[in-house]
Amino acid sequence: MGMTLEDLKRETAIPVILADERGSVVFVNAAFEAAFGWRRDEIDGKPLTVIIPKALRDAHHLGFSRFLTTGQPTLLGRPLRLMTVDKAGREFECEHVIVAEKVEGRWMFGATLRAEVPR
Amino acid sequence: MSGSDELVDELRRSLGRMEIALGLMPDAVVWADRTGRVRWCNTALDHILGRPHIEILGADLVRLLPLDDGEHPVSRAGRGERRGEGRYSYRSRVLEIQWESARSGEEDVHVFLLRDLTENHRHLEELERLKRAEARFRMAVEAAPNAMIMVDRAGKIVLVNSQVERMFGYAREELLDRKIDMLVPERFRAAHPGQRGGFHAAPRVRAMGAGRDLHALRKDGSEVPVEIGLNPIESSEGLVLASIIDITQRKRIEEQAKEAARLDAAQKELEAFSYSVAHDLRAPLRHIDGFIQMLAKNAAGKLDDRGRDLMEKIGRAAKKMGALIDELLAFSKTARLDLRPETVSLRALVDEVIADLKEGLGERAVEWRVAGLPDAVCDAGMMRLVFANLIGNALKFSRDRSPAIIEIGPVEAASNELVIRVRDNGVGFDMRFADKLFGVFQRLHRMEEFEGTGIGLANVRRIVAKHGGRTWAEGEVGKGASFYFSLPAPKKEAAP
Repeated sequence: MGMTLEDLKRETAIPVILADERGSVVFVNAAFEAAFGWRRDEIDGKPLTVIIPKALRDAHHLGFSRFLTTGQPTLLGRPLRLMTVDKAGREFECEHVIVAEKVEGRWMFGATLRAEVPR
Repeated sequence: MSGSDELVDELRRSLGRMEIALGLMPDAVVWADRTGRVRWCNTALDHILGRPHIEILGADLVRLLPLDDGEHPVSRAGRGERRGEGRYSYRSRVLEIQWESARSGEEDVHVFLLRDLTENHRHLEELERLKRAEARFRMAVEAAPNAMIMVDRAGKIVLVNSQVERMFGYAREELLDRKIDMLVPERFRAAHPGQRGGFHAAPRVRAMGAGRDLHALRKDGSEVPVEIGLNPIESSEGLVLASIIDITQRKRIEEQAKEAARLDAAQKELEAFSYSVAHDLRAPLRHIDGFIQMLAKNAAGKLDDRGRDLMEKIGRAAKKMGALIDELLAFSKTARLDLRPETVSLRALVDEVIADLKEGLGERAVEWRVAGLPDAVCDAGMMRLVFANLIGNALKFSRDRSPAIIEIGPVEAASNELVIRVRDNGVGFDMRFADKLFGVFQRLHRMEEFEGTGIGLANVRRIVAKHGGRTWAEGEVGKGASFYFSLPAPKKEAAP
């Protein structure tokens, strides 16, 4: 598990998104902006679920809540293929690598979203 | 932090706990949208489907969970069946699926509960199989010809068959759960549990108490000699199946065989003794006879009448003793001689014997009735002795009759034997003494009345017995006697 949040912030080739403990977006990179159609200032402060298809939002909320409750990661650190949705509402599959770190006592999350073939 | 932030945090914690709780459920919980896409599931579904959780989320439940039987619950729920349940086969598993549809916001959500009954199912099947196996085992034990008792490590009776009830006189219920000691005579009880412990230490099929007499205790307090085979049963309870055989009958036969062997040995010893005694007596007897004759020749003139009379009596006594010894020797000899059976004309044999005996009859009137004598397979020499003795006796005990009537012939008998009778109209005998007639030196009449050594009929009996036959007699005082002997009929050739 080599990647840290700092690594993610320096990433330029692959889309990256960071969120805080409540699941609000706090950072995206330029690659993300290009891939998902959101400008950084538009998405800042929005819930993470804006890039998650409706069908997966329940699972996201429950998994996210579970992690915050237990602190036990189940999905972190390894590549996961999950559907995502862009600003225009197109769904496509991405390879996620999710990272969590405690910063000043609060969890911060980050993910790389390597886009597959968009639909 | 705003109030709504706090609320979100609280809700997050509640959801997190809910997720943990649902994750602990052994049953799979899954909810899907109208189209059957999985919105959420717990980890139990991962196990049923054998896929990672992440691949299940968002996937089509019908494709994930293809069911063999009937309409898929997802499509039933989609058609508006708002709740239901059914049993389905998924690959080699058996699933019980319940569902319920709920309005959630502006969309329908279908919640499915999947219970994996496969293990239950296998368990039930295994249970059935075990039940059948146990029933078969019980039937086998019940049908066994021996008494069977199963005992656990603590010596408690766990199974008996009806042979046990019969052998011990207890009803089954009186035996089950009781200690095996109740079937062991008190004097053996102390040793018994120790032996059983020893058996459990090294269980293998074996006979119990080899080389020792074992006894079992019946309900009525009587004991029964038994033979016990022990078989360990493979189980954690340390069961032993004992097979118990009542050997009362066998013991009796063994005792009888032992007794017969003992009698036989005694008889042989007696015969050997009498033979050697008779043999050794002959030499001094010959000396007495020789000296008497020398005395008669050389010293008769020097004796008076009384002396000569005594000398004559000594001579006669010596001769009689000689005859007695000869017969004893002959009797011993018949015991030693082997039979040489051949087909013999009994008629011819009897005619010869009568011809020999007629020489000593003098003026006596005897009516002979000889009829129907067949051929028989026997030892001719020995059979001649039989007839000589029986006919000789008949003549002797009918000498006061005129005419003496002597009948010789077969009588009706079972098909497997030939019975010959020799009957006379002589003095007869008292039936009370019929048993004594055939014993060695047994006489019913005083020597002075009827001469004889008392060996003849004993010899007859022995010869007939050697042939596999029997001897017996009937009589009445003053009304004659009948002597019978049987010979086994030669086996007929089987008809082709």
